[in-house]
Amino acid sequence: MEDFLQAALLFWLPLICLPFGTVLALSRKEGRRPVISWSVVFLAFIMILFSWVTVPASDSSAGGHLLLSIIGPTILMGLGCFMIIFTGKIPVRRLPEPARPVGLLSLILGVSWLVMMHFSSPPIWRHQVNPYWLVWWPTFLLSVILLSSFVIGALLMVGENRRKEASLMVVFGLLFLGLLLAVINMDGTFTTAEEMRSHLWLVSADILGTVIGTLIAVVIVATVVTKYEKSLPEPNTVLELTAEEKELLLTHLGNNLEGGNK
Amino acid sequence: MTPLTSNRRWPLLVFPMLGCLLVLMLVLFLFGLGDVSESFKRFTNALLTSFSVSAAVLAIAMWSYADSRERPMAPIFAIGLMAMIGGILTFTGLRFAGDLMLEANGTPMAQILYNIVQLLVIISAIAIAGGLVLGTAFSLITARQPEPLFNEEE
Repeated sequence: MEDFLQAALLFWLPLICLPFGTVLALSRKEGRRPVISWSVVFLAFIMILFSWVTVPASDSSAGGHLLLSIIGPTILMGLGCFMIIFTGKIPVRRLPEPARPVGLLSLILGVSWLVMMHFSSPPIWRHQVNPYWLVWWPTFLLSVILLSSFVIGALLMVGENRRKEASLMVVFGLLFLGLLLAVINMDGTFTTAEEMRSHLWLVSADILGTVIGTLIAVVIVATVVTKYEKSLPEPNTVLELTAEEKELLLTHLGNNLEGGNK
Repeated sequence: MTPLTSNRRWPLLVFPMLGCLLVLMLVLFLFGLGDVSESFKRFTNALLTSFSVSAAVLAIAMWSYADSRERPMAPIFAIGLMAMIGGILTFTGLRFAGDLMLEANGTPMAQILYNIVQLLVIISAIAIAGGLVLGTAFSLITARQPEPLFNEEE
């Protein structure tokens, strides 16, 4: 009972605070609500990361252990992307030029760290490979390939003259496809290729289930909101613009649409 | 430029689905299926869990919607009810259709808790992958000088 209470307080309560705190923080911009909510989210995240230390008896703390294991490569990849983007041709103030190769190096190091984790040092929890790592890693690889194709489609569909970027994204997606094929074809120190193949199919089922479940929930919410909005009375009609208001409107339009010459 | 609504560009939306299908077909062709006996259980558990959790989170999101609509309670109750139905459905399914339970978990409650942590892991994987892909795409986009929006008039 004591273990259950400990897990509830040190893992499950912070886990509940995570999405609910985020939604509350995003729901209002002014006042103290966002500050308090983000602080709660941050604290909850830290508690989840260290749950394998605070509640080692709980099986769920393996999730926290996994998140802590991948935080290093994630920060490196994030930092890498940030530095590359903000040294590029952007309209706001750029980072100094040397940050670009450093960012690229950071990005490569982050991905390499994850690859190395798979082949030689996966997260070990209770003297065996963390069970959630076997879910996270194939999900990550599959998602990168899938999302890359989304981005390629978007670049070609919406972007103007973005074929070069789309081709480079194809190369990026193919690199990860090659990595995925290597993962399910080569044994690691602690995981076999056959094991990873099974996990790849299982996470495909997981991703499909998660996407469908989330979509159903979103569609239901959209339906409820639409129904409610339709039930609202029509807004009152406003009076016609006066000559003075029309003049003011034309002045504003002239100032903004014709280079402010009027 | 071809307009966004042009019929010529819409087939590009099929690209991701086609890409995913090709990857899985390639894996199937090269390595076979392997042990996938638990696929259906994993799919069902993921579906029920993601539905319940998303509905619960969206129910909270309805508070901010309510702020701008003179606080109607009906939508919040409706979404909260959906989350509850999802939760009850998951519990009942696991308790009475025992076939949905994975081997490592002995009780429905253990399975539900496992599912929630697994959902967190899957969401984190998708989010980090999304960040990496978007980051790479923007890195490529910002590497080139943007074209001027309007050409200078002669």
